[in-house]
Amino acid sequence: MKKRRLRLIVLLALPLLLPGCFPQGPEYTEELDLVVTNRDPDFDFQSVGTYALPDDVVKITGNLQDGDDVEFVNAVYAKIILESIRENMGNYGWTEVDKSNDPDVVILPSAMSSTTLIYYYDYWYWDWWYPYSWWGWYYPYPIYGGSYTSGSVFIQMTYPEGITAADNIPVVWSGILNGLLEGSTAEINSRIETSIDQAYTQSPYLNLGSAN
Amino acid sequence: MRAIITLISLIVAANAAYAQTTMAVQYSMNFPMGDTQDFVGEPSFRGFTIDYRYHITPEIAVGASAAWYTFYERKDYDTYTTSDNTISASGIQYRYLNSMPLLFVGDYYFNADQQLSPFVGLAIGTTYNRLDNEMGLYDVNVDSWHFTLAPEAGLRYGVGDEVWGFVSARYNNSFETKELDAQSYLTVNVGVMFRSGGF
Repeated sequence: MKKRRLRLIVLLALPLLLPGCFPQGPEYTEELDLVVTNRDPDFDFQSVGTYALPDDVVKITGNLQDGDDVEFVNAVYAKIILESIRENMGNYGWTEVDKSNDPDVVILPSAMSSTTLIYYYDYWYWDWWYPYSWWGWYYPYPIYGGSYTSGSVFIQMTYPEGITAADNIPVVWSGILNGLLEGSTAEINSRIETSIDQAYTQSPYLNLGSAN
Repeated sequence: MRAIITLISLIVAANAAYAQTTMAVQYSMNFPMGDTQDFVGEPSFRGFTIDYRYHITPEIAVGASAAWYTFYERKDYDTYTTSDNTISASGIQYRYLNSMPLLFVGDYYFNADQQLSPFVGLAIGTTYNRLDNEMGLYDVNVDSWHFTLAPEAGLRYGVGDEVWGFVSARYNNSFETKELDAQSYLTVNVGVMFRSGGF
């Protein structure tokens, strides 16, 4: 009888061990923030020094190919994105010039927020602004694709002089910031700023004073 | 052939004279080693093991062991760069290893008729391992079934005619597969063992 009771206790205790199989994960929104950068390994960043940046951040909606107009990100968020890019480019020794002044590289910032949209982002989002006539861009490396279930900011550095015979302009550096769009505007802006800073921190080869 | 028949006859005869089974339920703590430690450096306190033994003699037992262990480690915010120095990713990583060994076991008990009985054993079988690496909103995982060898040693302490307290240490060594490197960890079990019959 005593043994039977002990067996019963052990059996009842077994399920108590099971919750331990599902340990904790992230607790705060910012713990899910991710910054990914990529570059063309054959491009010499020390050979360039000027850049152009638009006054708006394109909003990727997925509807452009259906004939809709280009939309832009809310100025509250666009301001912090553009200012952060400017500050980091300046810190790395780059000089901003107007798009009509033959910049070495052209930086194209964009963003999207969605839970279902399959990412589809191409050159025609920038037809309205890009200072050169071209047909499209290309990446020397595969990085984009897939679906995003959150907010993302994309920064692409294009190199107009590298235009190919097929009229594609290479994207020599890109950054993707991804995270959950939760919290106040101030909190989201703070995270965007931190992530853009991180994108440059982990890309020291963009520093014109570096040996990379 | 005659030797094999003789051996089988001896086992059957011994079995007839001493047919007994035990069941053990154990709380398991695990300490990663080797490549497993490279992936998840923290010890695991989330696991349990269930063992079944068929005693051929009081000293010799064969049986099976099934277990589930979960390892977890939160890596601080860091930057990870590909070897060609082109792609870098920064974020917090949450790493998990879920491990499920399914093993056949043979044990030898010293002083089997005493209250305190040390034992040694060897387990052989397979282990299902799944490694998850979560970064941002993304999860990269890989899983595999390994061939496993696991030597063990422990102590059994009688607390009644049919119940023992039970502690053991088992070195789980799962060999490399096409999908995963070799995975290894030391399991420390604390549990209760019952004689005869099931639950």
